[in-house]
Amino acid sequence: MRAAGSGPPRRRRVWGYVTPLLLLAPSLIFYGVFVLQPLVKSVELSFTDWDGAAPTLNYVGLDNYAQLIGDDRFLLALGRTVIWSALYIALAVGGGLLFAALITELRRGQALVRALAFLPHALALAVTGVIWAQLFHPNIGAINAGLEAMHLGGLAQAWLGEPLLALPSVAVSSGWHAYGFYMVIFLASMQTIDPQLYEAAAIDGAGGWHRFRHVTLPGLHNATTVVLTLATINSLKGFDAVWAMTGGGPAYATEIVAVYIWRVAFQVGELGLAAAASVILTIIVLAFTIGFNRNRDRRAV
Amino acid sequence: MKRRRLLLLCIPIVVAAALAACGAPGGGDDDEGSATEETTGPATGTLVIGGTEAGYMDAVVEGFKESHPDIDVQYSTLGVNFEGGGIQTLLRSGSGPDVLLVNSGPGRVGLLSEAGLIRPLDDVYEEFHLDDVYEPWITDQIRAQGDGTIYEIVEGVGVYQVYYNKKIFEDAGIEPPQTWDDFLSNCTTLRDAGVLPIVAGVRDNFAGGWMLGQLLQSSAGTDTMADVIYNGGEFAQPDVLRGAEMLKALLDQGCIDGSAAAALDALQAKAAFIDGQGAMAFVAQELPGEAEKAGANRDDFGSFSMPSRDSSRPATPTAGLGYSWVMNADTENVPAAKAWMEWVASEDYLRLTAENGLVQVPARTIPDGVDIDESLANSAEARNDGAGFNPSVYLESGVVDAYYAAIQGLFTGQLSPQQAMEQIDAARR
Amino acid sequence: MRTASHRRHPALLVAVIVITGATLYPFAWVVFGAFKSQQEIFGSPLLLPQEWRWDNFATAWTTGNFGHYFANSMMVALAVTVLEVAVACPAGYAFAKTRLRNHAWVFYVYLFGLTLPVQAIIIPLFYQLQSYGLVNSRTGLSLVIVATAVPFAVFLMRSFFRDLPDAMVEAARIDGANEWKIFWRVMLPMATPGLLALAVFSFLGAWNEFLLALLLLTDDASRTLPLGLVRFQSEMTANYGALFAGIVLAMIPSVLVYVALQRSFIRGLSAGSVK
Repeated sequence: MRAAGSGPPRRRRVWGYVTPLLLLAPSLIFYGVFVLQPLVKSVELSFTDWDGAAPTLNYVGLDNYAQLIGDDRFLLALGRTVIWSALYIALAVGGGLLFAALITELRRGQALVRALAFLPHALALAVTGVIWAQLFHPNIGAINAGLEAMHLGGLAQAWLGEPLLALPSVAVSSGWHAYGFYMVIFLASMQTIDPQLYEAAAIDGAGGWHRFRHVTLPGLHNATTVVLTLATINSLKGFDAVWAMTGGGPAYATEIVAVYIWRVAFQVGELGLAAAASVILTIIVLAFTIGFNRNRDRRAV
Repeated sequence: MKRRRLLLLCIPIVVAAALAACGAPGGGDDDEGSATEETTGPATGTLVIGGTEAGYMDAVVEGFKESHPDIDVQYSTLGVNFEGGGIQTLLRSGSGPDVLLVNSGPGRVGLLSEAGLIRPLDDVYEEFHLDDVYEPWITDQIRAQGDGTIYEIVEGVGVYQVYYNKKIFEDAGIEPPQTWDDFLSNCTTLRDAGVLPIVAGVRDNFAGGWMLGQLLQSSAGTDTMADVIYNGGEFAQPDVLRGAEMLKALLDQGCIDGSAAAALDALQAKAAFIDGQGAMAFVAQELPGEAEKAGANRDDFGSFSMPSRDSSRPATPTAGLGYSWVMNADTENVPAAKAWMEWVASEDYLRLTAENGLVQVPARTIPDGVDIDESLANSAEARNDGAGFNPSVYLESGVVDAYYAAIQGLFTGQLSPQQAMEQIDAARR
Repeated sequence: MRTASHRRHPALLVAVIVITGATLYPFAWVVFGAFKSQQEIFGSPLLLPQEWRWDNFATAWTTGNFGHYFANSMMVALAVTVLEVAVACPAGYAFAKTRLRNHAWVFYVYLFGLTLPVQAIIIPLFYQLQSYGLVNSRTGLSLVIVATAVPFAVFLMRSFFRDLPDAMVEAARIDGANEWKIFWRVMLPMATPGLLALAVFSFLGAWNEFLLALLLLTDDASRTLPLGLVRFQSEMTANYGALFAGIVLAMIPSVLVYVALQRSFIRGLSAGSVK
């Protein structure tokens, strides 16, 4: 909060904004030219049937949106995106939280374990996809070979070839990539929880689970909000790993909205339609972020 | 405060609206006006060539440089395909190469010509008398595809048959089949012996297209398939539908592992077949050569055409244009690009490709004195005895996608043959 | 300090070791695979290679063009890092310490960008860059990466500057320093850990960028490493040994950068997000 004081004269007040705005200007130029401008253009294109080649824009009103809402392929892609987000959050955020709770109890080696668990996140998600496509490979993959070595060969699958397994399999690879990232945030937040709370709980005879449920989790409220917001946004944007592992297949089984947009825009060339899909995706992400954070804020009070 | 947040989120949109008023995509930057191109004259200047990973590329580029010392040749491997949308994007970007090698056919080259991204080549055909050089059926096909206009110089043709591992067949006591029933019983014999009868990899679609194409050919024959492909005959008609049911039967009886096939791509499946992990594969003429390259013995692999369901028709392979050279519509050096097209059609070019790992059946007539790989020659012969169609090459772009989606649906068990074929028909309307 | 009830449980240790091992195993598996022959990969996918053969690396290096992709990625990542720090640092300061902090709505404009999916802008972006002649250009890609990372970078720098005491600003102001001097001479030196964290984030973010690179780089000459690896995968899809070697080559730089800078990376992440 700004300290209350005597108001400076009006001229100085206006003048005083010059330096801050100059400091802001470079970032605003980048952001305006390469993010906000194309965003507005996307909205405009979503009302046209532009194919990427026509020299003028032909406005078709809400046709693209109507087409999307009536298109099973798009609706299925939306549904898959929800499942994908849920899987991603369960694996990456759930895994990160669990692992943070485990290693916060370690007295030595915590920094090392934390650094190692974070290592996958240093790789590009696309590189992760390439690696996991091999791990899931039906003939040479370590997962099937590992199952066979444990005499569980019956469980071996063509992971990325089964429509029902392909999306969860890609989610596992993304979870591997991301869980360390969320773990670091949780861990940092756990270290700010007052140790006396744990001591009090211990005196009450609380077990490990009880301490986690009633001390750790409430203490992580803010971190959890940040992490869930970040993770949901990241998952809704998800593209790299899916593209590198399955390209949206088999038979659309991993075609989430981000992949749908890419395919419709750059393979089929229906740019207006794809722009409309991207606008819908944006609205969903935005609505979620605002709604979720408001809800969390209210519950925190 | 919180309520204002929502309102304020609109502000970036307003800010950007002002910014966006200037650059309209497709509006300011099209160079249709600059079409005053020099189409004749000496071939000099710079020529940018976009090629593929084919083994002979370096050799033919070197050969071109030697015979055209005045042209500054820049060669790069594109490594992009239609299915990924890379070629379209590259050409739209305005920075694509002058000439490039792409997949043939209306769904591929046709897509580029319709979007005005590549230049008609009728003058090239005329100037260099290419009608005399190429097999007439090839010239007919590409002219028909362009509604009378030629847009491509065909590099090679794919001829598809069933390849089999002779040793596995011998161990199982079976022979190449004469009828569909023979084929099925071969499959079940192999399956019961614990051998995977058919190795397939359809993740990247086109190998699935080859496979279904052969089954449709077996079921419906060349004339019906020609009607389906050129005159809009239905895929769901009984004779054609039966081909999809044959695929379903192979999947149901465990002759193909559908989900493994959906997880593998064409090259991985081929590697597994060459490694002896299955008895048969629906692939093209390059298989024996590639087996040899991978350290296997090429004579271990034999081939047969899929037996016909109608005993009055002979078993025929399927075939389709493979790769074609096209010219960028925006090329600034037409004379040099033309010189490249002339070179591509030449006998020396064919000789260089044959000596450096040619994998497709040449589209050009093969003059005496040029030796090509034995299996390619055999395939050329099989093809010249009459061949069916590889539908992937001949269907329009939206329909190819539906054809591929139908195949993936069949392999993953999500579509019945009836549904799969109806989906293709639906995409055509 | 922890009480006796927090004594390490052996099961805890085992769980930590198992999870860490499972996290690291894919790295090891890929490295082993890179030294195997095709027959060995098919025959014994889990085990150590029988002999450590280097020819897969030779194949990957010569056909994969990795040196070239590496140079491209390095150029893009360095340019992005320098630009991002230069652009985001003043903005973060402006939001944290100048009178702009009383105008939250300006900051919301940036926060909005944090939630924006890249998919929302890629279509016009391509044509926009084409009209600037910036398609297939490392410069174009760098500018766009900087722009899309601006919201996060500004957010991060704002939280760093906010933690610095206001008293320093006031004291400098009383000494007669102008706003610019306060930023440059007083605050910036104090924010060095934040700058370093931002630099590491920017570098790795640019190094790992995929979708924008896929959009904007269509010729081989300008491809970056993740793009190059995905292309390499589609060509070497059945030459598994070479593919593994290519993956290893593509992994090495990221892993090295991370190992060298992981402290400031993790510290930056911990500090930036918990607040």
